[in-house]
Amino acid sequence: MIKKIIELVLIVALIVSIYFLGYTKQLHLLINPRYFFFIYGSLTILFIFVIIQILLPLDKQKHKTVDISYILIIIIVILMFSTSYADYQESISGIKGVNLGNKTVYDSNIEATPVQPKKTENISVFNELKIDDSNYYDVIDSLYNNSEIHKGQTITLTGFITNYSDLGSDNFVLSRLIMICCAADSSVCGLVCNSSQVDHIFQENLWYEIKGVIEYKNISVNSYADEYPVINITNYRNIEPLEDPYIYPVFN
Amino acid sequence: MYQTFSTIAVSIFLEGLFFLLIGVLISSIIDIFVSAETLNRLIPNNKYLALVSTSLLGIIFPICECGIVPVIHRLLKKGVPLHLCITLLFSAPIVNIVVISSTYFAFQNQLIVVILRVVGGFSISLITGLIVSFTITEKDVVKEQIEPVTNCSCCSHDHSTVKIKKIAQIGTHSIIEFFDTVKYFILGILITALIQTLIPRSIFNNLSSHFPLSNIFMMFLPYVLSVCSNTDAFIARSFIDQFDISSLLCFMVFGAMFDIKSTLMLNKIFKKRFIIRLIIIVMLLTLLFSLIVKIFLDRSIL
Repeated sequence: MIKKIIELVLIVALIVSIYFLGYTKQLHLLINPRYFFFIYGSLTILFIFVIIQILLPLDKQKHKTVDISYILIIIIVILMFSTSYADYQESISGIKGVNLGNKTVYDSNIEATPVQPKKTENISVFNELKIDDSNYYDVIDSLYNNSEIHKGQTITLTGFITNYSDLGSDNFVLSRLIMICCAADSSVCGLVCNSSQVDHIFQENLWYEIKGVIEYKNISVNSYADEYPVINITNYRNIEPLEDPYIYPVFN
Repeated sequence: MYQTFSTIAVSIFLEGLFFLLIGVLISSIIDIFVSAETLNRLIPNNKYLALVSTSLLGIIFPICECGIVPVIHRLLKKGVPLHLCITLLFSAPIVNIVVISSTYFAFQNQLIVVILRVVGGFSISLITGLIVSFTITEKDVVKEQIEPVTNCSCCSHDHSTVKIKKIAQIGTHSIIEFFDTVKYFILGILITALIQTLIPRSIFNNLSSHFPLSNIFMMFLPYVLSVCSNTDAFIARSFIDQFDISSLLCFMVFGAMFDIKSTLMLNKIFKKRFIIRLIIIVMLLTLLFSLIVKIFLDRSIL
């Protein structure tokens, strides 16, 4: 009897906590929206389990009343309720590094503590076409693979800043989070930006809209020099963090 | 750090929960509707044909490594040859529609990973079955006191005495199996999240370039994590930046065949020495398979 009630409560707790993530609009920070049917499917099956637990007669078999699975489900439920998933970017770049084309740059000196945002500085209003979320991954991919096409082009893009000492004092990476399936497999992807005012103006983890001219320069990443697309900054503005920091690439 | 840990843990849980639930549902349906005798009738008389067909049985018999142990226990009691049971034990958790689907979703842009996982699972289970058939006799490795088994893979109660409809049986059985399996699933997720939070990827990056160390590590990891084969592809996917495909296959092939919980379950049926021998055989075959894959990948043939 006690076992059945405990299991019923735990299944309901799972349903409520998943619903809570949806209600607080945090699900897309954990799962690629394309796979939300996983969530709907899970909720449906769990709901059927609740009905079965309520309607069917008690199991007369003797089972352990306390099981490690109960404690572990409680832990997962607590994690779901107690975490804000919006600022994941601040720690992920330190752990996973940043993807630059087919290489990943790491830095042990990354500042993981959030920096207080400055007041927004409107330097200029951009009129050019921007990279949007739907084509971000394709454009970045093209920039790394088609230098002849993109050299000298003007680009405007948004992202948060990650600094790496390996890239040199005048460079930083303007990054976005890429999610294929879920947050666990997400990675940081971006473009190297060049400015002589890196230390004075651009602060780590803050969001910027940057305009510049694309050039290709030799940069040493992980002691291996290669040609990378670099944005020579002509204009910039500090922006509020995007509601959805993720890019959800579509692979055709 | 807590936020990173929580984000990784909850996201893997949400992604894998659906497959875990589907797995226990299908497992329960099979346990209740398909008897071991029916399966026994399907096995061909020809030894080699029987091995091949048993390796492919998972396609119509989708069950993970937790559910398959009680099934082979029953098959052994019904007189199914040991080598066929061993082949089924290792093939069913990989060559099955649920695992193939979850691997496809996890590696949606890399169909080759799905194919290689299935080929690896099929060939390794087949070869292990062959080795067992030529070198081992059943009475030497199976514990003499085999307790009677039922269709239920999660506890000892007999479904035939439960006077409720079959559908209701599936429901109750699924709930029992869910709570029986979810602990290994969550524990695996928490350990994975902890590793990913505490250990910078740059360390994995260094390890990933050292064959066969990286491949051995990627066999050791799922063994400790004890993640269900229905969902392990999503966890393997999270390591894609650090390890090459050959190492990820070690994770998804060896990890689906053996882990801590299945080893403990097998201990009820087989003698310890045989289990250790099986682990070594499967480990070496997986390493060999991953080496072949690595050679082909390095030469850009795949």
